[in-house]
Amino acid sequence: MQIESNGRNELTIIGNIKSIEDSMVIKNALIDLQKTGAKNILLRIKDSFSMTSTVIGYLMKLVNHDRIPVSLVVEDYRLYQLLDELSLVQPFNVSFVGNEQ
Amino acid sequence: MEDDLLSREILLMRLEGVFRRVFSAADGEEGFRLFCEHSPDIILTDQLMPGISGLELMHKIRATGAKTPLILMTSTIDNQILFDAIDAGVERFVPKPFDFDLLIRTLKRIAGEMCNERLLEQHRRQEVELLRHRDAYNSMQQESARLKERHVVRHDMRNQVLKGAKDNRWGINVAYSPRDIMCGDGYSVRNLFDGRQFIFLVDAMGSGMAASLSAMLTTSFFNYQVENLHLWETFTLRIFLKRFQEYISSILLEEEVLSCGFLLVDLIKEEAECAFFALPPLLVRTTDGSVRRVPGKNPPLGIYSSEVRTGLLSLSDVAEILVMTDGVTDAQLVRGGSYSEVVENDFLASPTLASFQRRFHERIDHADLDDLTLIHLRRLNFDTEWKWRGEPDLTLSGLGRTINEFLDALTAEVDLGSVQRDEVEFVLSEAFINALEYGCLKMSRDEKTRLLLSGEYDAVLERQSAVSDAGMSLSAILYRGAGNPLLIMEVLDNGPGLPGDTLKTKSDYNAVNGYGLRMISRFSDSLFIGRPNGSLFILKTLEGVNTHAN
Repeated sequence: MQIESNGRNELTIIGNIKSIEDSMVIKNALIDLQKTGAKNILLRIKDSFSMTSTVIGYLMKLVNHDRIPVSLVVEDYRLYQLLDELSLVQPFNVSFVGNEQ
Repeated sequence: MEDDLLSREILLMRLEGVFRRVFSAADGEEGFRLFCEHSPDIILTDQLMPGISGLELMHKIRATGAKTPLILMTSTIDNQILFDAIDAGVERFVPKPFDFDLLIRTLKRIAGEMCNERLLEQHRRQEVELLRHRDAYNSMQQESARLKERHVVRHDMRNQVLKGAKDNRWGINVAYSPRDIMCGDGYSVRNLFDGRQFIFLVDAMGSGMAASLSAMLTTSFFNYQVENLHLWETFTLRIFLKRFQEYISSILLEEEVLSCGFLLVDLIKEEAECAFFALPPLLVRTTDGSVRRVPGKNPPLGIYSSEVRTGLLSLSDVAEILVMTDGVTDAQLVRGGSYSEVVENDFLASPTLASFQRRFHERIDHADLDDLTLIHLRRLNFDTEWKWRGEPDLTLSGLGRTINEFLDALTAEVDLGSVQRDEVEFVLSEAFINALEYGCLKMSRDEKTRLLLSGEYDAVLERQSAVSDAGMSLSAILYRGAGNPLLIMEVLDNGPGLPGDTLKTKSDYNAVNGYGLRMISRFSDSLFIGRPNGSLFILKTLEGVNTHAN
């Protein structure tokens, strides 16, 4: 998995979010954005079909505790379905921009 | 609207004798103002007037959205005016000079049509309102019925590891897919006071609510008896069946029958006593991979049921047993024929209930599916050729290292493909984190929430891991007794273990934790939680893999 920072409030994730290390990398990148004073965060997830519970937990903290609105743009329908099943589409403001295959 | 004073006065006088209120105007502009003020039921207008014409007035009125019927009085039959008027929806034309009797008849006919339309509209609105009430009422009733049905069917051991003889472990999965709310299937999987398991499956023949009532009544009776078995002087399957027969003869109608099955499982003695009544045959796979059918031998139960035949099944070499209702075997295949033709092949190829269901749904025509209930008892540990064991360092990087070592060993054995490899890595990452937090560090959910919110979580995890005397291990086997290999991974920690109903507990909407097990569940075939030590069995069918020659 690779992560790219685009500007003050945007991260792009390439590859599957699947390991403990991936979780820590994303979490630290989110913390860095917070430290630079991001008022909202956009996460582009290019092709992951999963998202670890650690990342979900941290995003929930951002949204509900730190009051930082989060937006997710996902390109894999399986991830969109997963977030939908977990009732996370609304709190994470999830948009699906791929193909439903 | 009539610009000629004499004509207007005569019209007014005649019409006031017929209608309750009549307004008159000398031109179209005044007429439009009166229309806006009083919203009349019918408009009668001359075509040729000073200012705007009757037709232009009509367009202005239609522009407001009003559909008030309009009668156009005209002395000239100009085709263009006629077509424009028809396009604009003029109700009638009355030639000038007009015949009063004809005009009154025309007005009365329109008034009559309007009354009818209004009555119809009122009636339609009342119907819609009634349907809306009925719909809300029915939805409420259906939701109550669904909740009741889900309350009656039971699975005491959902996601729980069951202990058998010689450290053997077992698990029971149920797939229950009612076609409608209040369906004809029911089931119950219960833990008995003496440590045995008692499984009941019913498919009431017939349709609709009558079948559903039979299914729910018999399932409730089964549950009630099971809960009081410890009070019985002697409990045997035969005595239980005798009481069951007595009960159903009091509730079934003469023409009603039940397909049902009873499986009394003793995992310590490694045997199961069974009685099956017109259910599809049990499918049994032994540890060497061979599959056999065990037919029920009893006709369906009715009020005149006769002698019951029971059987004893040894579990000593059993890998898994699948019991199902005939909704599964009677399902129509897309290619034609019924699923009973291929059920054995699919069972042969599928080492878990989830993989069996995937095959089932790929093959069958979903248009006319019946209720489906499947109960699957499976062994969790085998003596297999390929096995792997590792004990990770209790740091986040240590956990990741062990997962990678395991994946390398597994991919040396089978060609997983990148997606399945990622899925295995994902579920193990979740399982390890879960075991570290709740098991090794005995961190409660509340404590984890507090640490996450305060930002101390990572530091505490590293600090506590370093000083903890906790331990964790991963043991994995590859069972090749089915068409597709089954990967069984056990993550064991020395913590207290998770409560068996952990997966049933819904996370708060805003929770920062509680997603891990649901993630594992999503990317594996099934999972079972063992206690008192924290043990998590994760089962995953490896679809379409090649075994390496080494």
